[in-house]
Amino acid sequence: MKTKIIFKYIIIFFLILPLFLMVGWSIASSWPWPVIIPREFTLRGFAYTLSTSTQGFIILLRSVILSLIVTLITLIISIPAARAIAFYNFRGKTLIKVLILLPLIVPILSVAMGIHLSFIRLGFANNYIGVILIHVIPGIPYGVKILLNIFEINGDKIEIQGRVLGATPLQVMRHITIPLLTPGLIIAGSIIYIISFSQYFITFLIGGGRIVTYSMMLFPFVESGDRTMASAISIIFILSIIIVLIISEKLVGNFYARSSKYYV
Amino acid sequence: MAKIQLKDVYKAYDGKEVLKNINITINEGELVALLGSSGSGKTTILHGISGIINFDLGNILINDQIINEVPIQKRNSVMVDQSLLLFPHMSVESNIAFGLKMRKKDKRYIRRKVDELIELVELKGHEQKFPNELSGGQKQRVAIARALAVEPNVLLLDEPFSKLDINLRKNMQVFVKNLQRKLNMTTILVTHDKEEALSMADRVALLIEGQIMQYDKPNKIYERPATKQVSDFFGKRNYISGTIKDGSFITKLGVFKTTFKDCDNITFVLRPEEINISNKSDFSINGIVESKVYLGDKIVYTINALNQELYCSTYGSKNFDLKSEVFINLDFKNAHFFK
Repeated sequence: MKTKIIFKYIIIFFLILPLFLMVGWSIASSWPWPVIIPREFTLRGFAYTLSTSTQGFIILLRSVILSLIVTLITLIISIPAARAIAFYNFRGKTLIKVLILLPLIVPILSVAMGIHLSFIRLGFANNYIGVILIHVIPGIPYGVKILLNIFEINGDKIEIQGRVLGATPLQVMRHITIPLLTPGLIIAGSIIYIISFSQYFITFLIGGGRIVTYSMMLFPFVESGDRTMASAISIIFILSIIIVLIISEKLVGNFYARSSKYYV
Repeated sequence: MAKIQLKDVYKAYDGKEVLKNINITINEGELVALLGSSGSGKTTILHGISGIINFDLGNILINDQIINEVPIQKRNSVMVDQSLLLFPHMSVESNIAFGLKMRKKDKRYIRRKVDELIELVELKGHEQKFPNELSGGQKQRVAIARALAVEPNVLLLDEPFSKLDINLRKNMQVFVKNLQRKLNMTTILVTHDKEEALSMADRVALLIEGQIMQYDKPNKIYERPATKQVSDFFGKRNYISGTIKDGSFITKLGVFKTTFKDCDNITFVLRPEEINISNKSDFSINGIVESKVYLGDKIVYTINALNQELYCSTYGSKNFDLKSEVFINLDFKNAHFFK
């Protein structure tokens, strides 16, 4: 019992308290130690982030769209990969399993450095295509691993039952495989989105500094020690992720709730 | 509803023969049970008919048309798996409508058909429920209704009752049998339960190691087995061999009068319930009760008579003690025999 309470306070102290400090800092222009409530307030940080003249809001929107596209592409790649690993036996299956999980072990930075040269040659450097492609890589292991587990739990017998009842492979995909995969898609999608949205250095490298994402906005202020700006940007960062995840979960969830009633 | 034929069907997995030379005809409206222990290849036959796997050799005919190359979704041979495989994300009526929806049938037709089936399998009031809200028997009926919705050529039941408790299983067996008769639906039932096969099927095919050992009416296969192997499958039986000479059957257990012709080697099969047993000396052979198994409705005894073990069963009211002396009567008049 006692250890439970101690753990509770440790969690509050290390996870929740910093968030309150951040909220405080985002609206304080001066908050010297040991004062508990900031002396002077300012909305400078939020104004900068959300105003159209500084492009803060446009960068935020662009980043959200970029990460959504990355999430979509990563999931589209992960579904057949996970399905193949779950249901088929083929030569080099173990090798492919290891290769898919490799981005978790090898730093993405070294991968990006290597790929950069090829991207320059192929014309993918310094543009959105290159940035999207490089963002897909760190998301793949999470996407494949989560969906693989869901496929293994569901098994392929239920898909075969669909075929026996007269569904074509495409119909099985649309009416059985994807709906049963939905919980996994929501979890994997959320993780992939967050990973992509938080990428800083690989975006900078492949985008050549021309593609500015929201997380890149944050770094100059952290570096120069402007706590007000950094906190405000971070809060919008967190809020944007939460809003996007809630909306996408609601959309996906509702879509399949309706599709279930659709048959009759 | 159709006639199904398998001709010279052969299947091997990784060099291991699973089905050898299967020939079987299932007439329209017939319920045939494929009976066999696990690994005898009975499910493989169902998978082959439904198109989930391809046989290595041989033909599948539906109404005299070879359908080997017809893709799985066009076979119209619907299987009900032992784990039922209801679609968990669809309501009961969506599950039932699935096959019709996939065939792009008219909406009004689907509505009518689903209502009809819900009525037929007695699931009124459960239409909007999801599979996880149903009991075992209800799930079973949804699975059967879903299969029947597409009006299949043949209904393939793969041990459909094995996961139900015993009372529910009995109910479902009667329910499915009645439904099958009412719709005149050609049905193949795969089972390892001999009682289920004997009570439900019009004909039973006994599969042992990928071969059909006997294909016959339930009473024939039970009372007149073709080989000792078939006979053994239906339980412990007594085999008494000897020779017949001048109207007497000479065995280790004694000499019995018979009307059979002379024969050098003959084996009679006596089922445990065909042997009479008594504790008074009204019968010719005496023996000692070696073991006794109480089964509720009957008691099965192993009796040592003249150093040969005999299996006998009596109804509960007759009771003999272990190691006691009993007298038994063997009657070969109507007994089944192998030569």
